[in-house]
Amino acid sequence: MKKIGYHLFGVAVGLLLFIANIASASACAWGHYQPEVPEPLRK
Amino acid sequence: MSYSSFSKNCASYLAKKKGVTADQEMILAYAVDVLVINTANLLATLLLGWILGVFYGTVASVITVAAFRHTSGGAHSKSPWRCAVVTILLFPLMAKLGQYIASLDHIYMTVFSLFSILVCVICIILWAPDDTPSAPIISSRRRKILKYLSLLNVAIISTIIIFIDSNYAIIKGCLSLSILWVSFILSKPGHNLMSIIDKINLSGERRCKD
Repeated sequence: MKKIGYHLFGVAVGLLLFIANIASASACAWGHYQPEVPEPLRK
Repeated sequence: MSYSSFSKNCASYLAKKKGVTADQEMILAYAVDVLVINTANLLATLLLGWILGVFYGTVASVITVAAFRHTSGGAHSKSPWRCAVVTILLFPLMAKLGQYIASLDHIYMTVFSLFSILVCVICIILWAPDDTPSAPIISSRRRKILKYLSLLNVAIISTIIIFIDSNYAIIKGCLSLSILWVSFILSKPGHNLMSIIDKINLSGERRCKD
């Protein structure tokens, strides 16, 4: 059970990093507020 | 970085569980912020559209504006709450207005659609992509790609507007209004409107630094 939980956290982290990369690659997300893009993702 | 405490807590919890670096933790907080704000705004927008009886028009407007926001950017509010109010009210109202325009004579709709397309093409050529201090576009190559993608968006949406069946006049009206809104938020008056919205004095809220 603990192992499954550990893998799920890994999936969540991977998914969030993927979303962050997609969001930072576009000019903005669809709404009218843009959170600050973290320094390592600025390009 | 000014992310919500919820996003920061989620990121630090995940960071503790998976042992990620400080940089990655900051990226996780950013991702949670983007995900939560946009999902909440989207659900509230669709709910209001459904309540007002313009669900499909709202969906069409959201998809159109989202496609353009990704490639051409535009004016932003510095506060997530003000953004939420603007977003949640804007799309259903745009759909309502689209419904009204669809009820007008066919010639008015045609003229309005062609006018919207023309304005959008000019604004995209002049100002897209329009970045913000919180999400700057540093690479000139990326800027060029986003410009081409914006023009591709205009071509796709214009084709849909021109060739859509007359039974979907409401959708046609919504798409025309959406590209007009996209043009507006790329322009100086659009930026001025957002800064006016930001200047409305409300205390105790989180804002994005310039």
